[in-house]
Amino acid sequence: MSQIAPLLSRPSAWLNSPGTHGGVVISSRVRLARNLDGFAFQRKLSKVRQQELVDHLRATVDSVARLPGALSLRLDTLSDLERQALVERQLISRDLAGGKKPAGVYISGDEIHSLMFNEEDHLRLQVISAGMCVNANLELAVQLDRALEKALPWSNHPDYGYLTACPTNVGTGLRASVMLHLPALVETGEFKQVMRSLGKLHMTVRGLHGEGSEPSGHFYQVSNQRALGHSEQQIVDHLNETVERIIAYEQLAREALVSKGRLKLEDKVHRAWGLLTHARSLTSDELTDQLSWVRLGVSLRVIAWQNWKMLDRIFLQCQPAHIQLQNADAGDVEARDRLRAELVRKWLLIPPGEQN
Amino acid sequence: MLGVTCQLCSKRPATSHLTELDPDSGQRQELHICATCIQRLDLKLENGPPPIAEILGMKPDDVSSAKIKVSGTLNLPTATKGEDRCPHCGLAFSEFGSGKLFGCAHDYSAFGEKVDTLLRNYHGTSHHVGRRPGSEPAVPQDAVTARRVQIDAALRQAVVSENYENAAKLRDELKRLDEPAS
Ligand SMILES: [Zn+2]
Ligand SMILES: [Zn+2]
Repeated sequence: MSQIAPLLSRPSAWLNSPGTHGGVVISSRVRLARNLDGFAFQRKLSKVRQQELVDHLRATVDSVARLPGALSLRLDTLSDLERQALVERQLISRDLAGGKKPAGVYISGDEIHSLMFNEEDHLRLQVISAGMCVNANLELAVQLDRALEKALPWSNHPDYGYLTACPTNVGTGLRASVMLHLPALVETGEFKQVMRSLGKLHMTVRGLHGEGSEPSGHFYQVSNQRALGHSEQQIVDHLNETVERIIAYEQLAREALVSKGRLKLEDKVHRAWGLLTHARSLTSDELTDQLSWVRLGVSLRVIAWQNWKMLDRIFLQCQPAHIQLQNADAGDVEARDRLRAELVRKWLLIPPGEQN
Repeated sequence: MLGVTCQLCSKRPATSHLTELDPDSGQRQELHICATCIQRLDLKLENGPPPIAEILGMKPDDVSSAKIKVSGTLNLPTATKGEDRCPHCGLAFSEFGSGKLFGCAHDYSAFGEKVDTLLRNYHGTSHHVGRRPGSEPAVPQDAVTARRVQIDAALRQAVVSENYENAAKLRDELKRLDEPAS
């Protein structure tokens, strides 16, 4: 039985739609980068020392963090699929999943906390949860960091603060981000202008990458670009302000879609519904694209079906590794796409009242 | 305070910042581009940016110059013979460019002025003002805020573990905290 089996079938901490702001905000995340005094950064650290580092961090975190129901894993004991499933649940980075180096991860039972060992930095401490809650996440991250720093001497510098392998993270070591669903901004073509203004604000915007090389068109992650020169709280405040502004633009664009383009909107949403409830084969990218329209339709109530929980379930459970790990006969892509279509049909058509 | 300069034209301030992570090698690549170059190359960033390598391949003229700069997004000097290396990990400053990762924490001191310039170019400053090991949070919080954060975390946990009874209790407490004291 898979070590991560207890995780797979349950919901994820960062998916609890509609979250806040009518489903525009999906999740918030903060990440602190920390490095241990006495160990070189990864590119100059031997395999043997990397293993020592991972063992030391795992043992210390196990005894200090004491988060309920936590799972402490060595990456080398996980299959490629299990690693991929952890990426799909946003518990580890693609970098950590793909690497052949010694590495580990400590995941709290609620999946809100995740601590990666021997990523680009020695420790990456992540707190992720659903809705707009960067402040609360920062609090949780700092709380844990404060406990850890009593046992782990972090590299720091009188002028530069916390030292990191990449100088873009130096200072606070903080990367805070919010995942947004912005279909109306994208479809009305206004997203371009928003993008432009964000660069000036020193914010990074990234599309959500699915299985394919093309990022999905409606989901974006906004994060701070700079980590030095502002306090953690200032960075988070600045991100919050920026995101609130983007949300307001998205909501305006949604109103415009409803008032000026209602027929087109309804057509798109119902076509997506029709496709998802009838398709016999669905790629993961196609599902994300169509699910985005259904999600928008649910949010704007242009569709009678109003089951946010099911949207989240499909979003999470129909990702490739989740399907493959939970179905014995999902070995190749063709079988996976067929199974995905089957699951989506079944779950979307469950009558209300018969859920779970 | 200067932002990052566009890596394609090296003239205008960059307004879009793309980051890519190669899942196999873990190599990070960043590309900073200005609005004019986005238009010039007709980049459709709204549908998710194309891979950085593809952008660099769009205009043959730009490729050679841009590639050099990409390996040193933060405007690095080129390698020089007999240059100083970090006494702890042996990294030379010019080697930092590939992947933009330092070799150890001592590099920040070992390369002194160069690191300072690099940090000022990217972050707009080279002076940290946030938390330090052992320090309290930058903004002191009152007991109510602290309790709210605590409940918030407990609430999310209760919801995830489907302990709805407990969740309802926590929600009530949150509501009480939000009510103005009468
Ligand atoms: Zn340019
Ligand atoms: Zn060094």
